[in-house]
Amino acid sequence: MFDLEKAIKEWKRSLRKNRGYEDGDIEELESHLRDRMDDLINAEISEKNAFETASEEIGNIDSVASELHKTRAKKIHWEQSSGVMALLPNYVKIAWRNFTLKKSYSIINVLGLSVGLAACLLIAMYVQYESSYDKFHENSDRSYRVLREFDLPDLKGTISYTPSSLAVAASENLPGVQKAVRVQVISPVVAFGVHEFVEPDFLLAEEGFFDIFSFEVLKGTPNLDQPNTILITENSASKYFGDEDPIGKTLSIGNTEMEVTGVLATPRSNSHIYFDFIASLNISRTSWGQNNYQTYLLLHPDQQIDSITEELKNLIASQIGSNTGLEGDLFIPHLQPISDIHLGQGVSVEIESVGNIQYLYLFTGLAIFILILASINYMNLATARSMERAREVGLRKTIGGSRTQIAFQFLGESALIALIAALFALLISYTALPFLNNIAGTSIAISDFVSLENIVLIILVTLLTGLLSGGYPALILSHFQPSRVLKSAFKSEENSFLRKGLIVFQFTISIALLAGTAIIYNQIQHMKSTSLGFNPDNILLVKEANFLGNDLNIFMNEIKQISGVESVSSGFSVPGSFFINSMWQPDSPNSEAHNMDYSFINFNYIETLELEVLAGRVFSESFESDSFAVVINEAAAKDFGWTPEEAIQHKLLRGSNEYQIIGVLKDFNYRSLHSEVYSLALFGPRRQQRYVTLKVNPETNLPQVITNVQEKWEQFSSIPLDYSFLADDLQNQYEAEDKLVRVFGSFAGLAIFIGILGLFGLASFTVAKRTKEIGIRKVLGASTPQIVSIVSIDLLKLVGIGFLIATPTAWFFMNEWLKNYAYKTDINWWIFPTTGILALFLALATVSGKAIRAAQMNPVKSLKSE
Amino acid sequence: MLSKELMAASTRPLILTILKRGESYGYQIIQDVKHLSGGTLEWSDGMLYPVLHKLQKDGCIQSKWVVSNEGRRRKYYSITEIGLEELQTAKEQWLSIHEVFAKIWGPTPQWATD
Repeated sequence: MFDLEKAIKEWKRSLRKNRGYEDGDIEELESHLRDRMDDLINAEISEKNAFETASEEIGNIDSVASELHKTRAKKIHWEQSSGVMALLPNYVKIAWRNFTLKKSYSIINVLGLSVGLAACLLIAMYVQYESSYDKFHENSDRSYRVLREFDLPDLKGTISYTPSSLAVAASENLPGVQKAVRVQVISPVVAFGVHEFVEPDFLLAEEGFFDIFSFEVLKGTPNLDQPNTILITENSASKYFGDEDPIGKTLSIGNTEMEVTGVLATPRSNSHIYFDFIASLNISRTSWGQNNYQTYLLLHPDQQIDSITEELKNLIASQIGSNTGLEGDLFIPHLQPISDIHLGQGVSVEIESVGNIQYLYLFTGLAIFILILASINYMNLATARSMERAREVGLRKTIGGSRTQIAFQFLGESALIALIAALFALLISYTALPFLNNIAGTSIAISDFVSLENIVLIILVTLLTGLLSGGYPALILSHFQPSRVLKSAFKSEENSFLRKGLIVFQFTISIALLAGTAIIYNQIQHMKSTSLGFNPDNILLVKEANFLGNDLNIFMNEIKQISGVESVSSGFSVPGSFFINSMWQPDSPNSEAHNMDYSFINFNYIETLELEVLAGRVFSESFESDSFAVVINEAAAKDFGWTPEEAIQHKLLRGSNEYQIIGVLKDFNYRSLHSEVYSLALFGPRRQQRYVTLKVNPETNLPQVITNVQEKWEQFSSIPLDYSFLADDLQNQYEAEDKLVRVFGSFAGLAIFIGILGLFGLASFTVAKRTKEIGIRKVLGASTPQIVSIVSIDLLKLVGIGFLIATPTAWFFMNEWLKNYAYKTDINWWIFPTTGILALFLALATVSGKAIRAAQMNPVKSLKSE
Repeated sequence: MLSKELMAASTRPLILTILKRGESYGYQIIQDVKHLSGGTLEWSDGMLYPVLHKLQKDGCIQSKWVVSNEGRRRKYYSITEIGLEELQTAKEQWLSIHEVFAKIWGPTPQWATD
């Protein structure tokens, strides 16, 4: 018998199987079915037939379901109309999930990038600071310093000191010159009442100084054409006058009284000129003979620099010719823009130690390298991990993501990481700036660096870093074929070659930098320890001896009595200090005049410094004529074409004075080892001596000796004792190299750090990937060292290759660098294996840490993984 | 027998016209259509419901469940303002098409359809 209710129930169940129907739909259809059946039954049709007819009339239930579903479903746009912007929230979400899911990778990425960016930022600050020198002067674009170049067959050089006549001649004869200003740096004793100090930063300058240099005047008028007036900085003002108004007060400079007419702000550190005082310079008699002044020229606007230089050259030629009879090509003038002074090259004797533009190039290169190293870490980790993202890419492509869109997504991700890193980098560089100032000897303030251009620059560099590091992974990832990556067994080793190449590159750079640092350090040590041709040890220098005046000899006799003092002498110059430079004419009529360094020394000076005598004798009190005698060095004898023995037959001439050469010294390095030994003449005792030299017994109680010297000094002089050890002073000549090794070494260290960080990331990745393999090896009986070596060997090989490339590279570049030095170290072969082993050791420590942990893991656990 | 496309296009205004007369439920609407068209329009009955649901989703009609005297639950549909507007638009469109054809083809003689 046909059961209607059961049939309807089954009919409904068949509807329910189709997901197109919802409950309401089925009920609605049921009521339709029943209405229809009622009609049919009323027409005398059996229940069974009525059910069959009614359900048939409803039609294909699947197509009805599909239609119903369509009315409910949201319309999906399979084509790419929504664009990238619509997917942005999704990208950010996915990026953030990845970031938090893989914390260690993310930290390595961000840390590496932020250290890299911070290093870049610091280097950029340094480079900007170094190149900002003297650009703040209002007229800096038409202000020049005159350099004196001499270009003789056997002598070339450029000095910044010029004769006093130059400025006068230039402003009188050259219409293009608006102002010519002479400046001199001295170190006098400045006194006001009981306050008395030696002032090393004391300028003498002429009227017009402030037309060239825009140093800020706080009070008074910077009027330098009044004789015996002085301008002081605010620091000096409070040092001498406390809270009192310094204007109108009188300072004693030596024996001269000077009236304070103005107060200046502390000069900006990014100028080649630094001062605490500027006193008016008044030169009554000018000459072309002595090079004592820096000459600055302010040109009229739109003045052609070449024509002015030419005019100046002709002017000098005519003046020197008429005044002294010397050849004009002894003085080729060069106009050096004042903003070029700091990074200028090859000028001997500067007011302040100058920068080195090559170092700036070097550091800029370093910054770029470090950034590349950091980007490589990102690249390597991102491609290494690309497997983990492969399915995401496959899915995105399946539902219509285009390749560009996916590439954009990954680029965006790396840009995001780079931006996060940039924020950290700002923090790091802010914290590290004092450190940089310390090692580089700069005084960079953050506020100097904050400008619109720099902010834009930082953002650009950051985005560039993001692009650089994300570009390659984006290319790889967007390339995946959905059909391949969605299969679970998908493995890809395609990019491992490149990855290895990048690691090799990283370690090449790191090892080369390390080796470079070692070689620079070696060169410094070499210079510091090179036999100088004299013995600087245990020599105490008493400075400012010129203030003793006539009491010098008494003072020297007194300190000779101090126990522990072995010998005492004095001189106008000591090695490493200033030597006077001038032309000297030999007595042989056919010989030409030669440029020589010269100075004056007292008896016993040569013995105190343990200089070696090649021929003749040294000054002696037993020869009265010695005040008109001179001792020259081997280089000078060679210049004049004499052997040492011939030399002592000759005289040096200056005007009507004749100086007998009594001895020839073996060359000694009285200049720094950057340059060769120059021709030197040492003249006999003069009243003016700047240094008293004491040879002290090293066994003696040094502080006691100094106290005793001080007591004696105070009996003769009103200024405080200024002393130092010659050996220390000589070490300070290599400040630039010291600075270089510190800066270079620090950044080389950073490069290594970034490389190690990347290696660590890859090691943990490799170990994670090979967990199962390690487990199986363990089960089969491999020992921990075996496993560690299996895991580490691949990465260590790469470090080894890096070492092989780094060695010749570093050797080549360092060899070039060493050519700058007249006295250079040989590159020690062992530096390379040492740095190589160091890098290998660091790499091993990084990799094996991970490997050991993996090797010690219980195989039961590791086999369960994956 | 109308073509599929023409059926699809005419169903909506047809349903709206029926509902304009007063609220009704699925089975009743089908009966009305059959009755009014004299058999010209023939669907499988089930296909009415997706159209009704679509109209409701578009806001042209609204629905409510009503329990009839004999205790059967039926879903009653009624036309809304939006539905009235759509119907008006559709009516104008259909009439204008009709007009065009009437002009072109002239008054249809009885024999032409035989």
